[in-house]
Amino acid sequence: MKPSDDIKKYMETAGLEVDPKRDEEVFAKVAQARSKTNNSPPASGRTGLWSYVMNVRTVKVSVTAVIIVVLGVTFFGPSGNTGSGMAWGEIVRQIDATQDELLNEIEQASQSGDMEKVGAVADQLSDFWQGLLQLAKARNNPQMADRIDRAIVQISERTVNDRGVDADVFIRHADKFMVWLDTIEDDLWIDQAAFICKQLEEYSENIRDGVRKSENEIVEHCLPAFIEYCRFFEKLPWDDPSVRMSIDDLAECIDRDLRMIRYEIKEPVMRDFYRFAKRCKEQIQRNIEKLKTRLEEVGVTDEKLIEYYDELNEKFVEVISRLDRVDIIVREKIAAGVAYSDKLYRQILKETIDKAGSLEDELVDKVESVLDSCRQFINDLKSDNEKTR
Amino acid sequence: MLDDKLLILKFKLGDSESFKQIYLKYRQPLLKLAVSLVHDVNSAEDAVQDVFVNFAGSAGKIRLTGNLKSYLNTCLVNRIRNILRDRARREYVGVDESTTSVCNNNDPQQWALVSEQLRILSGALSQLPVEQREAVALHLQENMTFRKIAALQGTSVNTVQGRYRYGLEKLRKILENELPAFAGSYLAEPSC
Repeated sequence: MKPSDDIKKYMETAGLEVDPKRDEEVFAKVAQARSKTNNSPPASGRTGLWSYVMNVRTVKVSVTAVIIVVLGVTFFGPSGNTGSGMAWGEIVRQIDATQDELLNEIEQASQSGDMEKVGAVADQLSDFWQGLLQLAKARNNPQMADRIDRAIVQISERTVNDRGVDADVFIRHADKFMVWLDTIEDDLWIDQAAFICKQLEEYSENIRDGVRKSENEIVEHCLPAFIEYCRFFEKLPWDDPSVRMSIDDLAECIDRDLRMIRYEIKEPVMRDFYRFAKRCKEQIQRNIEKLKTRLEEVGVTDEKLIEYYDELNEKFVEVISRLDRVDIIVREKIAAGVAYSDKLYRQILKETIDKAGSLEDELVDKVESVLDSCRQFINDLKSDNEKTR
Repeated sequence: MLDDKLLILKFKLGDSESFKQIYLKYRQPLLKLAVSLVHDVNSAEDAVQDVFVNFAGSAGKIRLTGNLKSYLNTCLVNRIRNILRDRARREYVGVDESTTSVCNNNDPQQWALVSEQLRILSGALSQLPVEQREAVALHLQENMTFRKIAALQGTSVNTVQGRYRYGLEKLRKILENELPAFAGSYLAEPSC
């Protein structure tokens, strides 16, 4: 027995009870504090899942625009005296029908676990309501604005609480991470994985810091997949070195890195991708140096690791060198008095690269090939490790 | 552990029931720890209540993969430190001359009903320096690792281990004096 066992035993017998009546009073006070916090609108005016899905702007759907136009016509149309019972009734029916339809879509997407779809549809819903709100305000109809505003709040409450659908989706996805946290004894353990994960952790920290410090704050707003990526990293147990990550998790980390880049390529604001890509490249170069040093310290010489990072670095270099040329030309045009626009940027991009097909496809292909290398690398690492066990 | 993570997730998503479950699960252990650290039931109750009030507003800050128990313990320890610091300041300037802390069940408004053993334990711990008291209580009572205690105290693991060792020795002596039966009932064979 340990020397502390006697005291530990005594501590266990040293009990404490709570007075039930006082307990209820204390909980009521604490719960009141919580409800005050919940009633304060967060910056975005939404809470929980709603603010999360609001940031996942993966798809803009024309349906939303059509709905808004239709309702706009109704609103502004010949009979569109919004004080008239007929026009208002029609609008309310349209609103309710569309909302139910979209909420059903969310439910179905949630049950299939398709978070992207959930985000996309919730996005449509949000756009739809926001559009109506703007119309109501533009027409200086406070009653309608109030009605719509309340509906938006109800939607967020419904999707988080009463329906409980999206909360379940989160729980199912969170389960995946939580289960491996609790079964670490069964996980594959390779020393290098910890190094790589640590590098990726620093990578994400620096990227986040870089974005925050960026003189152009729009970069962060235009990188929703990046925000999702940061949140993913925040959820991982970086602070607890006793938790070991499996190769699958490592692959997931790397996969996320590159999928995020692929999302950014599809964003219309190419200029911001360029800045982001440059920072990625700088960070990867730093990672390579650090990784080499760490591996030397422990006497590990795994050339494959270095090859992987080198390959990733090369791909970024290719992409960025092309964008560098574009950047120079854009600056020259701006200096000559041409106003900057994303359209100009893309036009110059295409001319510079002299490609008939889609530029995004070309860049996506490059990233996809890196993803393939990455997956192959992980498979090789796994099989090497199996052989040595 | 998995239960706690699900609770945190639901809590972050605004679920009230999960908050209540967290409260019911942790209020007693937190009260016990607080009483052990501060030997004053009123202050202990205030500290725990503050912890839950702050926690209530922390949905945005708490990490999904964080350790809930560790988080709450850390909040409590910080709160207790503030209380002890304020108390020391008041005693120093002579505002509060009452230096004897109380730990009994006479107050009808009391939330925590402290057993005799806990009262004695708390009294014994109060005779240790604060850092030793924390090290012993957190390690033995809350199974907190030395590494985490070191982070909490802003010092090295070695220092914490030293504080723990000295604190434990002193605590044993105090308990043996207070409870002659302690030596007979609880004393273990020394380990090799």
